Amino acid sequence: MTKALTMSEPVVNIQRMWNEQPREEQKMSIDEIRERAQRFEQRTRRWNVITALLVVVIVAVELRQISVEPELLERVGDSLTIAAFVYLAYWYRRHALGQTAPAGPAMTQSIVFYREQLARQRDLSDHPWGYLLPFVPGVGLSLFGRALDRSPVQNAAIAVFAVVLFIGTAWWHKRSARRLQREIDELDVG
Amino acid sequence: MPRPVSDQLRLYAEVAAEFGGALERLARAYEADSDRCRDLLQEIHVALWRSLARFDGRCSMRTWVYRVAHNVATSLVIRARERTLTFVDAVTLESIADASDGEAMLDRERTLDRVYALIRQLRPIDRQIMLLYLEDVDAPTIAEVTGLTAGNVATKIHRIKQVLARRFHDKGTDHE
Repeated sequence: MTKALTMSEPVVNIQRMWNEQPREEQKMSIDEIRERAQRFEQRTRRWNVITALLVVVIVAVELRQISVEPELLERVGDSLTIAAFVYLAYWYRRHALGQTAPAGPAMTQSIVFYREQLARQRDLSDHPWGYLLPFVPGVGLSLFGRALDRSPVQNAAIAVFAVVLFIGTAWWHKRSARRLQREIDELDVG
Repeated sequence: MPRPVSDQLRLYAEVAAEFGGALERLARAYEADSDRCRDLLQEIHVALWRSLARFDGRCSMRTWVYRVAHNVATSLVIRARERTLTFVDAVTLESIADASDGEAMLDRERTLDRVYALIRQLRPIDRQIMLLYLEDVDAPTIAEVTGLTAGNVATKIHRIKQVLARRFHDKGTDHE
């Protein structure tokens, strides 16, 4: 005789098994937790300082380049590149400041948190020209300034490489953005 | 306004004692690799410690802890997106055949390994619901943690139960 299997039987068994799993006892002491939390905050601060220093170094190198460069076009190109770096640093800072506060994950429902994370990634990917375009005038002028010193083949190769690099990067980011948007749409529907 | 450290210490000790096991299971359900699983667990504990400085009782401690844990784990899923497989929702999972469907529950360890593998295939939100359901968290709390409506949670739990029932069908209780 067949006894009808109630759906809850295996489910209840699994739930029981799940909750009866032995602990792995890989506990961290409270001091370790506090130390790691402090390290996390120090790392964040250090990273901010490093990126700021990096921008300062790049700007200093470009300024030096401007001071020794005889060609006007190259000097203008380098100045525009500095402006692009400063803009990128500002953009990064604004983005970094948007990160969640310590209590953030607890205050945000997980579907909202997940959606925000996906949307943040989508926005980063969706506007690749936002951080690629500022470099185009400066790099373009610098390259153009030395164009007469190079052979036409070299100039053509550099131009093709630059275009492929920019378009390829933009295409890759757009593709990621579309995939993330699909996921956000599914989340909104379901 | 952050809490005094003594309060934070007391709260953290309570949370670690009450939810330590659940957090270990959660980390294991997100990360199969034991080293990465340990890192994730530590990351969750650090995030919990930091968050408790601002716990204001606006929601229950259980909701607070699960939100922090799932959100930290979800960040990891998003960061690791490039090296992971495509995730599915519970509806899709229901339609995917598994080689061991209907197999008897041979032993506890193997069954749990299969449950973990199944959870890791799910999208973050479905994964969270399944984990919370397995932890015996009630539907209103699941809704509070995830932000889904109670009706949506009930539907998803029903699907999860169907998947579990089909995948872990106990032949021993099927016939007499």
